[in-house]
Amino acid sequence: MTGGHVTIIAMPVQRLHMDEFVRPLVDIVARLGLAPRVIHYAEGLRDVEPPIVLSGTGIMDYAYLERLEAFEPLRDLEPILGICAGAQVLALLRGGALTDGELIGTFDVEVRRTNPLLPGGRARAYFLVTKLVVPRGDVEPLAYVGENVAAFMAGDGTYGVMFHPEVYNEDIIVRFLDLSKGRL
Amino acid sequence: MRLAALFSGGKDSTLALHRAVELGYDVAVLVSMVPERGDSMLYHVPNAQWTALQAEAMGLPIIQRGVGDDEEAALLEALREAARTYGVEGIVTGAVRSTFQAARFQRAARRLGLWCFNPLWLMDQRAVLRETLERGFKYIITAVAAYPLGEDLLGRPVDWGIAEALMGLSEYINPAGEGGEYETFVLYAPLFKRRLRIVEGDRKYSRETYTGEYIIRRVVLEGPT
Repeated sequence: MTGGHVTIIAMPVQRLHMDEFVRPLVDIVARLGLAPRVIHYAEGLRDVEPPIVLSGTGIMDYAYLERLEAFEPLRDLEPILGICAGAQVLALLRGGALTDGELIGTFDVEVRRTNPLLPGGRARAYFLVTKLVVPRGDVEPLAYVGENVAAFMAGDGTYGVMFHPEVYNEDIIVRFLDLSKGRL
Repeated sequence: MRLAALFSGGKDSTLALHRAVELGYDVAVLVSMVPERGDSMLYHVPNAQWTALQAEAMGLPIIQRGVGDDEEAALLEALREAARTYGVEGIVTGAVRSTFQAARFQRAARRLGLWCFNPLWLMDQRAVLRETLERGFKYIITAVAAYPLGEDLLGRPVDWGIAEALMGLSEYINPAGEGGEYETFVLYAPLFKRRLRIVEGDRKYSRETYTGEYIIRRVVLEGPT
């Protein structure tokens, strides 16, 4: 996997969160020999190209939920992977909803539906989330943490994970980019 | 935004503090937890009481709290005081890889309605070491807890030679010591207005467990006041 560009949409409103939530994704993409292109959602997303990874952000940061119109250009773009805050946005764009719920720390995720992104069985994952996804519209759950949705798909190339795969599940990002090969 | 820096006195929390200040955040106070037990899972242990002198060197106030069995309760209490007394809206920590540590900091901040920043999170361990030296940090190794780190390292300043040696041991240890393989104590960094000089210290080392500490007995501030 070398050469192609990967768009990373930065979600943090605070600059000090960029190194925590965006830089690790940039590092993973670069280690794969791909070229990360980072853009913040506030810069305008009209010209972004897939494959796209939407980052997470800090727990107190809910600015993205007040700027949902900024993500409208992503409505029909695939392949796209949302992480935590990014997954919340994708769920809302695809007809899902959010509910308050706190998951902070490492929890077991159980994959309940065979899919190309997540290996079957159980895996530990690191969560940093206070808004969980309610599956409605096109949002189809793939994995759960307890009875909460931990990962979903919404169309063939749209995935959301409520945890931070860059911590314990880097393989998910690698697999997503591998699935996106035709676009790289 | 006004922040409190969770400060252990070691290189990682010092680097995180520098990153925050450079980005324009107002670090108004240091918060330092001083474990009463040597096996604290959450806090860096050796020489934690000397963080007050490091704070003085930086011209910052410090909240120091002794930590007993309930480490999370002590952290909450210290952060509550930082918010009440200094009006901080968030904390910055030097967490790099430990989800155990990071999750506890995140939960404590959330309970108090504070932002939580971990600017070194998932950073390549060798890059952490390199950045501290490139910035001119001066620090010593104050504890070792992993083979093949030996007694000779205790009290030693970390220079490029030591850093290269640590990076060469990545098969055995985390090169930046994030897993507790070694601990550090900062004597100088760019935000320090004065330098610390160790006058007296003792080594304790066990060849059976490959663990040891350098206990600072006396340390003074030098340079302009």
